[in-house]
Amino acid sequence: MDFIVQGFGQALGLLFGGDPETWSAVEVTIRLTALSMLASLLLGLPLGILLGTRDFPGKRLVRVTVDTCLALPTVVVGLVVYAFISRQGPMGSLDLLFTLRGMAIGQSILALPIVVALTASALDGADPRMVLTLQTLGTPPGRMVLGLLREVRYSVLAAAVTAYGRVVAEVGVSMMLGGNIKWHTRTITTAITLETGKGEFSMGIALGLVLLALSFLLNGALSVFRRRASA
Amino acid sequence: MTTPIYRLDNVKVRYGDRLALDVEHLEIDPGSILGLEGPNGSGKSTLLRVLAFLEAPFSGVLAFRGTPVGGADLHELRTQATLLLQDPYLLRTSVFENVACGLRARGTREGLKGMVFHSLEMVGLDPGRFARRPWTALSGGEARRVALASRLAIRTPVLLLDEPTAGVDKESVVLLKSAALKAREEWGATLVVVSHDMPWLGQVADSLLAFQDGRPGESIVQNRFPGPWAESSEGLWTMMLGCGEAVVSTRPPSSRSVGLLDAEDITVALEKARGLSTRNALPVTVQEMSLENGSGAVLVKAFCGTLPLTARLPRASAGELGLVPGTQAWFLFKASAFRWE
Repeated sequence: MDFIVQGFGQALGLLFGGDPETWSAVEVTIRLTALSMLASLLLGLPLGILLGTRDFPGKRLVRVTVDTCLALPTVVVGLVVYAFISRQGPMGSLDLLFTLRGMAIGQSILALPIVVALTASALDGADPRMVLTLQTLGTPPGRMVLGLLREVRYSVLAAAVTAYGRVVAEVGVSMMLGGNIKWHTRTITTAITLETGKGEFSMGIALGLVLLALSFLLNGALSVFRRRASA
Repeated sequence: MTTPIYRLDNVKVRYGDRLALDVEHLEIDPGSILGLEGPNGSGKSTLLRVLAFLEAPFSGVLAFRGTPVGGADLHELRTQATLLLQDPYLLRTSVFENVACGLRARGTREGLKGMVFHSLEMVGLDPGRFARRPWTALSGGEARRVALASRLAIRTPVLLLDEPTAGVDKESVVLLKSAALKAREEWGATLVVVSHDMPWLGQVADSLLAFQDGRPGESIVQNRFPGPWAESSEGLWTMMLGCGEAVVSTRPPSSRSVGLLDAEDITVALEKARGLSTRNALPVTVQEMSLENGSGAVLVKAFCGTLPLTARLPRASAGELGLVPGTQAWFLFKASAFRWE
């Protein structure tokens, strides 16, 4: 029991003392997740809008596929992306393995179905009078999607926050594609895994606290968005 | 001769196998106010959606300002007519932004605030109190008035209102009427208004159309006598009313048939004269009177016990009788006046 209490004390020391190794993992995590979220939102929002507002042959199949991808195992994504970006892989020449960009590809694949599915659901399940109202007020077709997005903005924000929660907490992709290289690709989760394995509880606890704080912030934001979306 | 703002020829709308709208010919003059009445599902709302260019006719010709609509730029047309939905939807934002939405869609920047405030005033909402309110902080009547204000703000040549008075308080009903009339006064708007509230519609509209099974016809206020009917003497049948009186009719198709009596077929008298040829004389108390804008006739709503009945008579006759709410009168009608449903 003592080592936990002791570890907790040392963890606070690491955090507030500005330990470079600890804060490097935090910084890498923030940079990595920002990159993955940017990519998944840039791709996922238009796809979600398309899926939520248009009818096309095979739409149901696409929907089921996207929903299935919500629960993609991180290590499987890691494995597949690894195969593509490793030396022998088709994208080997791009030198993406063990870089933040390589890791971001994997994380974006994890986040993408969440953004697509939740955006599509928000638009699909929206009040049918919404479109009629915008039409009767003379909204040009080109601004229709923007108008609709404004209406479901809280649901879309909730989708982004949910996706962020998934990427910030995953280990499999970061470990397999990043290689857990200190100062470069070591994230909060891969650092915790490593340090705990080494018996270094204090850094694990310190990073765990940061992750919990992030998680708390995200869920707080999510509950605010959910409340506004349903108001 | 002015070109009608709308002309419909053989316009049909189908939902699956059901013919929801079937208009052989209809012309709506610019600057007129047309009232539509009729039971639920009779095609009124469908007609409004067609007139708002939200629904393309299955067949027939719809012409706007003399030009057939088929193949025209729908968005451009939609800027000419706006529809207030039966159950209006407010955008998830402030009252101001709701009213400004249509103006912004048209690229209005200058004088936006003034236009929004003026529209709110038209529907009786104080801009100082309401403009900043979120859409969640409005009563049902206020929400409906905000929705109307957002349509008034864009000053479209055509204003289509679907049940604007449903479920709103008395004050809002009066304000909605004055807002509708102001739209015509200020920019010569043409209005098409659907309502179940016949006295209100009669006051607002220049002319009325009654819809039944997707087809428009002459507007007739009808009284319903749901039966059951029992055979009495001389081949006549009777239905007992809650007020203790009996209504006599000629033979109904069945004892459960609903008798329909046009408001026109009721004569109003202050005394029950002897030797009347009409079989039916019901003692009633006048409850409400309203003037039909288009025809100039007066609708007299009265109760026999708890049964509401409406008679329609020329304004001069109502004046001669000195009818006011509370007057005890007699509603007289023939046994042969019923039609059957």
